[in-house]
Parts: sequence; C-alpha cells; structure tokens
Amino acid sequence: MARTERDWRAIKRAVGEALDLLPGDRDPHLDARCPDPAQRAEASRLLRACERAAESPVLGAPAAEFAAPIVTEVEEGEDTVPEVLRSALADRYTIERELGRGGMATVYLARDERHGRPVALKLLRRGFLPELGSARGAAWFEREIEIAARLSHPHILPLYDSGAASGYLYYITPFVDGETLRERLRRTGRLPLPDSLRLLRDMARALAYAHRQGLVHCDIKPANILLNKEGDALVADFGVAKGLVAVRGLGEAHDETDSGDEVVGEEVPDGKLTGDPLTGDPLPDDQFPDGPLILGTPAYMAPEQVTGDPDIDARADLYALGAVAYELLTGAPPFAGRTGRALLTAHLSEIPESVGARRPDVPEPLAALVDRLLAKGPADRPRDADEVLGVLDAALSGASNAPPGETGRVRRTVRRAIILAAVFAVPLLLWRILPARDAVPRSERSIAVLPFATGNGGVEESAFSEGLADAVIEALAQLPSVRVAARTSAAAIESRDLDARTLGAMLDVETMLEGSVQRDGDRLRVAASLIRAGNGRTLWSETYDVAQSDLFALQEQIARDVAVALPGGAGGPLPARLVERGTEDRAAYELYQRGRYLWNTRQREGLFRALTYFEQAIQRDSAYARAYAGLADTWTFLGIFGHVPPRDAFPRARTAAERAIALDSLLVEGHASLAHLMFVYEWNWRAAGVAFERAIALGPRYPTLRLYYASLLHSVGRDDEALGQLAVAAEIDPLTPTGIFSGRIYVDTRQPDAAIRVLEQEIDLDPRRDLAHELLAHAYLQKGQQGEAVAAMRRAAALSGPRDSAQLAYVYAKIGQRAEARRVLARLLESGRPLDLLGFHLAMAYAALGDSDEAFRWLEAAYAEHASYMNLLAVTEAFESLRSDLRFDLLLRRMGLPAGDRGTA
Amino acid sequence: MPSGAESGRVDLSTDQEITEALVALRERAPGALDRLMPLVYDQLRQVAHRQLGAEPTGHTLSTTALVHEAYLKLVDQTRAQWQDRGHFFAIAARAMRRILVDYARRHRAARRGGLPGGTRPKPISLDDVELPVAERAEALLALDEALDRLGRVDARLSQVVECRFFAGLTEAETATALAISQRTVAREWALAKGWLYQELRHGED
Repeated sequence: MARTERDWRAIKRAVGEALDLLPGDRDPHLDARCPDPAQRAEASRLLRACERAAESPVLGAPAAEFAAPIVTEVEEGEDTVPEVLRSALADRYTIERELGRGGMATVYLARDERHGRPVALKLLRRGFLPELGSARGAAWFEREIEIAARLSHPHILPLYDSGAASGYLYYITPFVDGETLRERLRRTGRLPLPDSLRLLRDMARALAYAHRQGLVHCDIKPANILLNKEGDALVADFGVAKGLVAVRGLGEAHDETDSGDEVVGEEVPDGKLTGDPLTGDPLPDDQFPDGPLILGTPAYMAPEQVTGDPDIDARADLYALGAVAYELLTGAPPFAGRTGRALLTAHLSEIPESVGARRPDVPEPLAALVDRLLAKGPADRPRDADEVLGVLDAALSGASNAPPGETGRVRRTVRRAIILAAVFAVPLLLWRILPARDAVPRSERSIAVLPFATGNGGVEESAFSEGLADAVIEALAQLPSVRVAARTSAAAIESRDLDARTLGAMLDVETMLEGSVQRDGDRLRVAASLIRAGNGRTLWSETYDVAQSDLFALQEQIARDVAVALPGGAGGPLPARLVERGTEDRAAYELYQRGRYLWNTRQREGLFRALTYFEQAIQRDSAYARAYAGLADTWTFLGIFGHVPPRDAFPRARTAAERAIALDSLLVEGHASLAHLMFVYEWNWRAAGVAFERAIALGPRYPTLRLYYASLLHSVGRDDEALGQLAVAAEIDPLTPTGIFSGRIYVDTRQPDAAIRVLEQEIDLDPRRDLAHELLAHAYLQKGQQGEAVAAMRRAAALSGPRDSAQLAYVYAKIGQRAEARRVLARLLESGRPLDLLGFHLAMAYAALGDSDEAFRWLEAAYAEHASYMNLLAVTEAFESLRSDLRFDLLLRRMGLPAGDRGTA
Repeated sequence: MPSGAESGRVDLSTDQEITEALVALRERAPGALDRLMPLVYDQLRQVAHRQLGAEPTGHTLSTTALVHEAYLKLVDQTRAQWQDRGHFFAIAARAMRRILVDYARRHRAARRGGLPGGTRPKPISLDDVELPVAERAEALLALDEALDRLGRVDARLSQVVECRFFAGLTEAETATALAISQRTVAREWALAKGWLYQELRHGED
C-alpha cells in the first residue's frame, strides 16, 4: 500500500480520534476527517481492525509469557523424553511420539504393551512445581489422581494409571482419536447451537456424576475437553488441578538472599523482592507482575479460585462450565481482551456482557443459564450440575419455559468492593508521625488502623492503600483522648494472620479499622469497618464509591466517619481539616506514597526507584516538603547501606533535608532526616543531638526517631539516656526493634545476659535480622560460649554478606582459631570488591588478631569514607585492645568523640 | 584504591560505557544511540540468561523485571538523570524484542523449519495460551516482520509495541520511555494493534 507520509498522518489522526468516540460517532468522524475516498477507505479498514483487535485480543499477554515455552525449550536444548523415564516404563509402556505440549505437561502417544492398545501418557514437567519433586509432594499428587481414577462415566476420560519416575510425574489415559475442544474452537470459531447444547449436556452429566462422588475438577476449560470421532465430549484431567493446588500448599518458594550486596549499616534489608525467603510469601512489587504462581486457567477461573479460597466446592466447576459455554456460544470466553491481573479482577467484580447480546439466536433460557453460571457468588449459581442439565434438556427439546422460580436475569448488583487477603512486606520503620499524646488512660478509645486490602499486590496498589491508612491514622491521632496505634505494629502483625481478638490484645487497642481498596478505571471503591477488638463485633461499616480525583475528599470523609463512629463519638467538634497531606496535587501525592513504600523495603532496587518517585513528586509540586524529606531519607539509606558512596549520598541528603525544613519548619520528617544524617555521616554530635531534640518535640510519638537518638546517645557514652529513649520507643510501639539497639548497648557495656535476652526476643519477632544474630554472637563470646558464638555469626553472615564475613573472622580470632580467621579475611580481600566501607569491621577482625597496624589502616580508610558504624568507635567493646594505642586516641579526637578510657567492666 | 560501593554490578566498564552513552544521548550527541544499543542488548541477554538459570521452569522470565533490574545494574544512579531512565527503557525494549525473536529463530532452526506432525500453519493468534510452542515461535517471527513493516510506516507505533508487548512496560513507563503522554501511549497502542491485526491476517482472507 504505497502511501505518502502525509496520508498516513491524516489517517492515523482520524482513526486515533475516532477510537475515542462512541462507536456510533466513529464513521461520521472519518467522513469529516478524510474527504479523499481512498484515504477514507483505508482509514475505515484500520478502524475496523482496531475495533476487532480490541475485542479478540492481539498482543494481550506480554511477550515474555507468550514466549516462555519457546525460551524454555531452546534453553533446555533438544527436549526428548528422558531415557531414565523411558526405561523405567519400558515393560509397561513404549513411548512413541509427542502429541502435544502445554505449559505444564507434555503428552505422548504410547503403547500399552500389556493390553496392546494406544494410550496417552501425560508427563508433568519437572520444574513446574518444585514441591512435586519431593516424596511428600508426589504422594499428595498421586492421592488426588487415585481419587480421580475411581471415576467411571461415559463422558469422563478414564484414568488408567499414574506414577512417578525419576522426578517426573505422569498419568496414563486412553488415547482419544479426535481433537480437544480448544482445537475445535480454533478451527471453527463459535459452535452451532445444537453442537453447543450437546457438548454442554455431556459436560454437565460428567460434572454431575463427579460432584456426586465428591470430586471437584478445578480446571474445566476447552483444552481439557476431548472430542472423539462421534462428537462426544470427554472431560479430562480430573484430579490434576486439585492435586497441584494441594501440593502447592505444602511448598515454600525457595529464594536465596543475595549475599553479594554489601550491607554496611545498622538497618538491614529484608530479603530480595522476589519473595520472602522464609515464608515464601510473595512481596508485592510491580517489578514482578506475574506474581505468585496461579494454578488454574485465568479465563475460566471462578472468583473463589482467584482469591484462593480454601473452601472451593463443586460450584467453581459450574462457573468454569459457564465460561466454556460462553465461549462455545460466542467464540470467546467472558472478558476476552483482558489478561493477567485485569482478567482476574474482572472475574471478581465485573459482570460480563450477556450471551444474548453477543448472539441473538441463543434461546433466552440458555442465555439466562449462562448468566447464572457466571454469578460471582456460588450461592447465586445453579445449585448443582443436575439443575444445569435440566435447563439444557429443556432447551434442547425446544421448550421455552424457564425453570420455575427463576427470572433468568442476573441482578446487576452495585459493584461491591471485595475484601481480599493480601500479604504485605513488613516495613521495619514507621515513618509517619503522630502528634503529641499526653497521659491518656490506657485502652480508653484506642484504635489500630490496619492496612487496607487491595486486589493485587503491586507497588502502586500497596502504596496507595498504605497511604490511605496513614492519612486516616494521622487524622484520628488529632482527636482528643484517642490513642492510635503506630502503623508498624499493625502491619507487622497483619502478616501473621491473627484474629481480631488476639490482634487487639497485642496492640492493646479496643477497636480496629480494617477495609479494602479497589481502583477500577477512574473510580475508587473503599470499604471500611470498625470492629471491636475484644469480640470482633462490627461497630460500623461503610462503603464509598467515588471518582479517583476525589481521593482527598474521601480521606477526609473516612476519617470523619470513623471519628464519629468510635465508642464515645468524636469527643467534641472536629477540626475543619483532619487530614494533612502536604500537597494538593493528587498525582504528586501518589508518587510520594510509592516512594515511601519503596523506601520502606530498604532494598537496593526499591531505594533507587524511591528516588525517582520522590523526584517526580517534587517535579509536580516543588513545595512538597514531605517529598524532600523522603528524598533525604532515601539518600541516607543509600549511603548507610553503601549502595552509593557516602560522600555522594549524604550531601544530597542534606540538601534535601534542608529544603524540607525550609518549606515546612514544623514538619517532623524534615528535622528527623537532618538529625539522622548529621549523626551518621557528618559526625556532628552536638548539632545532631539538638536536631533530635527538636524533632522529638515536634513528633513525640515517632518511635524511629527515638531509636536513632538512642544510637547517638550510645555513641557518645550516654548509655542511661539511650536506654531511656529505647524504653519510650517500646512504649509507643511494642513492635519496634528496640532490641537491636539495646542489645548493642548491653554488649558494649559487657552485660551479655541482658543482651542475649533482648536479642533473642528480637530474633523471635524477625528471624532474618542479621544484626541481631551478629550482636548475639558478641554476647556469646563474652560468656565464653564459643560454639554458640560461631553459630550465631554464621547465621548472620548467611543473611547479610561481607560485613558479617568480616565479623566471622573476628569471632574466629577471638576464640583462637587464627588460621581460620585469616582464611576468611583472605577470601574477603581476594573477592576484589572495594572494602573501604567495611573498614570498621575489618579493623575489628585485625585487632582481634593482634595486628594493630592493619587494624588502623582499615580504620583510616573507613574514616576517610565516613563509613557506617564509625560513629560507634568510642564505645565498641571489640576495640578494647586498641584503646591504649595513641593512634586510637588521635582518631577519636579527630572524630570529636570522647577519648580516654571508658572503664567498662 | 577506589572506594565506591559498586557491588552487584554486571561489569564495571560496561556500565560506565552505558552511562556515558546515556549522557551523550541526553545531550543529543550523534551516534549515541548506536553505541548504546549493542551494549544494552548484550547486557540484557546476560541478565536474562541469569534469570532463566535461577528458575527451574523458565516461565518466570519477566521482561519488565529484567528491564528494571538492568537499568539499576547498568546505569550509574548517581550520575543518571531522570530522563535517562526513559531513554534506557526505550532501548531496552528494542533489545528485549531482539532477544525474544532470537529465541524464536533458534527454535525454528532446531526444528529445521517444519511444524510437528505436518500441521498447517494456523492463522496467527498471539494471545492463544494453548498454542503449541512451535506455532508460537512462528507467530513471533511473523510479528517481528510485521513490526518491521510498521516501523517503516510509523516508527513510534512500533516502539510502543516494543515497550508494551516485548518489554512489558506499563503505560506510564512507556510514556516515560518515549517521552509522550500516557494518553498518547494508549491511543497508539490501540492503533498499532489494529494495524498489526490487519497485517497479520492479510495472508488468509
């Protein structure tokens, strides 16, 4: 189609504009825009193509998903049936050729030698679910298969045999000479009515029978329906999906923490973004949109399957049957055009276009049946497959009466927000500030706001819902005589899946606010409930449905409604504005939320991305003080953890913190950021102390502030005050990690029993806190428990990497295994990575080896870099041996730390 | 002794090259794009390979994650500016396309071109999750060719496809990558899909 560029531009613009219009207005628009008939014709063709492409989706799934099997095959090389398997089966089955291959299994044509008949051998790919490789996993799976093998029905594909060999699981069914329903649909598109009815009847009979036996299929879809030469339908793969779901529940995702990252600092990352190493829970992050492995075929999954409801019953199969029926009749399953999360969400909350609208010649009772099968709630669907059969039989015989009692039309209910279980990464730091709260009697009017549940776990959604919760927390905190639990506590416990009563007790609150958030297009739906913690009774609940642009007004409204709903009411007239946001620009606000969310992950990638978000927020609103504070905090973490050289990171942090304060001198976060970096990098102890005091005055209920202040106080030898701050922090938020800080103080003041006590508590709360294990090792050393010390430090090293490798060397040196210590150090040095930022810890190891020259060399390097931990030089017990050295004294003086003997015993 | 905390980087010299090239691109130096493309392609391939190696199934090759990870690993964050990310993404998207098409070619070569069981090539449908592997490879190659043709008609439309489909970037990320508004991305994506739909079905009407 030779065409000038100008032609193309005109066509492109015309069609692009047309697509924004309602269908009826499109052609007239083209008429107006393209007077030239040839242009008009081409524009029309393109427009039609765009419309069809939108309906029956082109490029719907991401390329990676689509190409995954290709990649797998190429990477795995020529894929043949493993010889081990062949020989294991040799006496029963001879594998002849491959029939087909899907995402999780390959099907082969084989010959059953014993009976002399052709069979299909379906082999589950080994890597598909790691859990299947274990004996337990295989046993679980086979049990499900065995149950299915007992089924005997003309429309169910029988299972002849199943087994496991060399890590592969397989099962044997008759070889059906024919095609799958999927292939048929691909060949002919939608089916004629009589064929559809016949197939559906066959399927319904199969399901009725299986359900009576107590078996649910869980993965009904066209690919699982075989059609033989006579046109009969056979439902295949009973038990497989159920088996896989059961096995999946056993397993834990395995993920190795990346010990290649240098971690230098007190705060420790939680683990990689790809999944929590210990619990296997996926961490929400839109870097990984595929999310957890969903077993089931998205287009046909019932809502209760999507949410992972453990109590799935036979009615999930009915939903799938409805989806298949929809496809038989219209050529595509419901919600065609969606993929991935959008598709799953659609199952949960969208009513599909009625079959009757897509294909007018479908008899009303049949269309109504399909609508009912696709009801969101299982209770709204037909009771069982027999009922479905009844309708189908009636339709087949041409009867036009709908089954008695049904109107046949699904009620278009108002879309309800659906509360979904969600797992959040545990943010270790509270960053939201709560205004002053003075002497309030405990448990009088107290509330915890749990994070709002979202539909998916992406960064955007999680950040958004956390932002919503935070806004409500802040707002409520302004009310007189209401104690609001800090957000860390709520989030930390949430992930442990406790009931209301236990939660309430742990947080020591009498009420809890929970809810869910759903964003759909430009609408925002929030459901919120206030429940009494003691008995879980709902005191109040409300659903909100607003435009996204009204977010700020919504936050205000929710805060007010909750305030009024609290036992005892709001306690007086409410201030004109409850929620302080810091910006009126909604986009900037959301960007900021995401930045904070990612900052909280304390992962390298998250931190860098947080930078971008904060910067973008500032671009939109250059007076957004909080965003500057966020920026400052992010640069600070990047500097502390060594992802950016401190001398590059901290000046930037300071600039940002100063700007935050300049824009809003009453903003706690700005002062907190400044105080922190003054302490950790600039080593300006006095100024930092002043800044901390100022920040605390502005935000007395901000636990993190206390933790950092305690660290400063400890660094300059004011341990009693440090412990005092930690006590306050623990009182404000019982779950803040004070143990790490007090543990260090106890170690440095040689109180190992106290140290062990608080550190073990800390480890209980979060076993992956490498710092806790590290300090524990020091405590054990002080008690002479060498074995435990090594074990603890090994755990720390496994969790953190180079820093604790140096510490491991320290431990070995202290217990006299000098050769081992040197070996560890050598390995570190040979690794070729720049180590100056680890100077503090390397110096410790060399000091323990008695090599003070080397120790000072590393201390100097660390000093030059302003590396993390150097602030602790004056008080760290491990440097005891160097104290008498003049060089140590000089170094302390240069750093402005109190020199001279600390005299700890 | 250099004291930067450059842990976790793929290859120190290459990141520098990439960062420099991005800076040059930002400053609109000629030839910057040409320098950048092979570097990024190479690094992305390595990163992809590592990702695949880590996963037993190969299913979880997430191009979006790849692109983000590559950006963080390959670009010096302390020197990069906000716009550089967009540039990088656009180039990475093209590189992703090459990588995946590469796989499809290798797959075809291993099959010596034929489809198993002598099946006839079916109408191209890139959304069918049940499609056998060999047909997927063929479909991808056909798409690649069609995309080339689209690129000659309208370069930006083909870039949108690279970003949205091959790299799996969101609308917002694509907007950043191509320095256009999100609305424009949405519109161009719809147009591109239509154009391709037309083009791919041309053979069988």
